[in-house]
Amino acid sequence: MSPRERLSQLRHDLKYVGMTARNLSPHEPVPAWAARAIEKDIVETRHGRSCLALVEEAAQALQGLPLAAELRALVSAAEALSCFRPALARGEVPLAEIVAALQTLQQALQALAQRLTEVAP
Amino acid sequence: MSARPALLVIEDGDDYITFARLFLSGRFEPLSAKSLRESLPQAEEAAAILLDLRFDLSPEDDLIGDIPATAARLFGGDAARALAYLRENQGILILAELRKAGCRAPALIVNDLPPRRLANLRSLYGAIGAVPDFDAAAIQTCFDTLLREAAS
Repeated sequence: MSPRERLSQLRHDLKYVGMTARNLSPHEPVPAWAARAIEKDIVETRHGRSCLALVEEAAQALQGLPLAAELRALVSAAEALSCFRPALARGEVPLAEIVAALQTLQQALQALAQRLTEVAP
Repeated sequence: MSARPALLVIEDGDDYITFARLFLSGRFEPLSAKSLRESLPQAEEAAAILLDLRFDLSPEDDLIGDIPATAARLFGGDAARALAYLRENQGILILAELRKAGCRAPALIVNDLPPRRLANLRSLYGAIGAVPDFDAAAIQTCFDTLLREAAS
């Protein structure tokens, strides 16, 4: 798989991460079903693997390219997201923090995509 | 019969249908299909289609597309690359078959498609929209636009 194909697959897989959290209103109480749904979006995602596992696998595949800073930022963002797992397992949903972490992940992914177009056009 | 228009959700997993049931069911009645075979019987009643592009999770038997022909045409006979290509484009292949079968329901893709690719898809397959993320408000707005265009 080429680097661009690898990134395309990662972007596709990460599209599902946090889709429940991103569609809940920060101004309303989090519905009871949401904790499990958000946990699934972050911990299981597609293929039953966590967001962090998907990102680490992609980072491994792309490590031969001069993308170290961007990959580090992406892995770091995914790690931050994985830190919510214990709270979610307890049924707690720090929604604002999760949404902020998702935005950081998205920005890191966009930065990686941009850099990839420069190093592997 | 439901008062809500039917939304045919076509994907390899269950992420889109879960999303549709949680966030779009106030507007649509979501119907699930995981292949062309499952889509065709439901296509006639579909007012709109929510379409996945990549079908990485589908069993090979559920995919449409000719692997040997694709391999010969695009990949110098490499069947593995042809299969990957068919998985990556399975949603569009399914939509093409639905159009051939007479389904004109607007289709929405959750993907950050480049404008030129989206324009090309629209020229080939009619009413298609795209939104980059699973943003329920953006998806509903895009469906509103597509359905309005289809009705005019």
